[in-house]
Amino acid sequence: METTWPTAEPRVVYKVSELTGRIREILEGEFPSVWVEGEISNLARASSGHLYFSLKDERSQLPSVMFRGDNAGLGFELEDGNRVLARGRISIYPPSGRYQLIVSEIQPLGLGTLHLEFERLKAQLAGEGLFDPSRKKPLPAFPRLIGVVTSPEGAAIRDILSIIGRRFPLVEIVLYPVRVQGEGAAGEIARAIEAMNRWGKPDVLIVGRGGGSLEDLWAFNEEVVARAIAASGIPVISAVGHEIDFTIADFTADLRAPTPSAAAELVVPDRGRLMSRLGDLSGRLKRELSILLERIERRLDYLSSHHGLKRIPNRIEEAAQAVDQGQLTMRKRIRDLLLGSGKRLEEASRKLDILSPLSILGRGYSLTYKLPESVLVRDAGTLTRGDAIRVHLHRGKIHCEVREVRK
Amino acid sequence: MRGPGGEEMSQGRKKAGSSRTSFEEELKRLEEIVAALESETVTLEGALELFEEGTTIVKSAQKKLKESQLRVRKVLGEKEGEPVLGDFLLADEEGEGREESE
Repeated sequence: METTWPTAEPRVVYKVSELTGRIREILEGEFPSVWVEGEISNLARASSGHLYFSLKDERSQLPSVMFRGDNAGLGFELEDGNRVLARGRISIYPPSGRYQLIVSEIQPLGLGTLHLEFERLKAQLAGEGLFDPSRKKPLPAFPRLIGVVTSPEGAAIRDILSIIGRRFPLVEIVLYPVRVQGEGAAGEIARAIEAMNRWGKPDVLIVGRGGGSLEDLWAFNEEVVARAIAASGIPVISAVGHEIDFTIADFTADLRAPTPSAAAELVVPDRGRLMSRLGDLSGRLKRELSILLERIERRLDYLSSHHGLKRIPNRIEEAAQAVDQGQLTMRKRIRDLLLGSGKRLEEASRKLDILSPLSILGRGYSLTYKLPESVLVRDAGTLTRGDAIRVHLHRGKIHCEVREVRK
Repeated sequence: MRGPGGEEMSQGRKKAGSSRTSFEEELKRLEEIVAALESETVTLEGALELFEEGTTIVKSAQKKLKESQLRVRKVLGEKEGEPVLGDFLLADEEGEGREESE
């Protein structure tokens, strides 16, 4: 029986291998070198050393192989879920007729499942409100005891001790040694934070480690650590040495420091600044005292030069004596107070001299006594021509005879 | 003669300069003293006492800043909910000169 076809096309019949060969030529010619982005799945390492896997996205899969010679120097472990950028050529494996990507080079793109887990946990904890700014506790301005949760051997504790020792060695540090990477590290970190809280003595906690790969830092992305930090009654500074990326611990901590060194800078005040603040306060202290002395001086000055001389002249000597007495006491106290500060002492003493009514003599006033009784003269009417008087000046005395009295 | 500053002072004086008083407390007291002196109401007597107390605090606080030594301990374990503490030395201070691994 003969079959007839509606159109009279010449019939070309391939053998399977011929057709496969043709397709292979076309594909290889079209895709000699391509970059493909996708997620690793169904990874299998053959005993030959070749790696077989699929690159996939939401809709498609691309069978791939990376031969032993190419995957030897990979530099990282491929795992299912890794997002990668692969370079290779498209070819067909004739025995199965499957096309595949023959990968010559591969680069990680994020961490795939780890990344997803990170985003999932972050969203969950954010949903519970654990990252809310209102939850953040203020740090003490002057901590006395700082708890540090980190490895006893890492760079982190070394940096922290060196910086705090330099800035503000008035504190005590208690290290809670933990492992900061690998299996079980997260649990140790969380338990250390809880133990510090049960103890209750630290004013603030630093929780962290030095820099490392994203996988090394993973403990700080685990839920148990995030929850221990969130539950801590003691303020927590997260200090994971990875300046660019945040960890989940960073989000729950009361303060995030980009490195352990930065945490040490943030946790204590600076000694140099405190020294200058003390210097400033000490200067104000001295200035205030001297302003006060000046004020009292002006008041005494006013009293003695106006009312004083007219209303209570009899008491001048008495008062002078009292002031002398007071001056001695005052000088002694001022000397004690300003010990070690010669210039200040001199200045203060000078001010006290001015306070004394006797110092009025220094400004040209004088005291006049009638002789021989040595009675202070405050009214010209008590003298008559020929009386002997003695005039006290700032320096020395003069004996005189009255030649004329004007009232 | 004793103004408001002078009265405050008598309570503060017990603390001033004591090595047990924290730096923070000293700084706070010093600021109070300066503020009291700056208020116009203080008497001469009160002022002298405040000045004296303030000077003592300045010396004590400066001494603390200059001479304090950082104290470092580590948790060795726990006993009845309280940590057991021991001295902590960095690896190279123990003479082992270990390389940093973490």
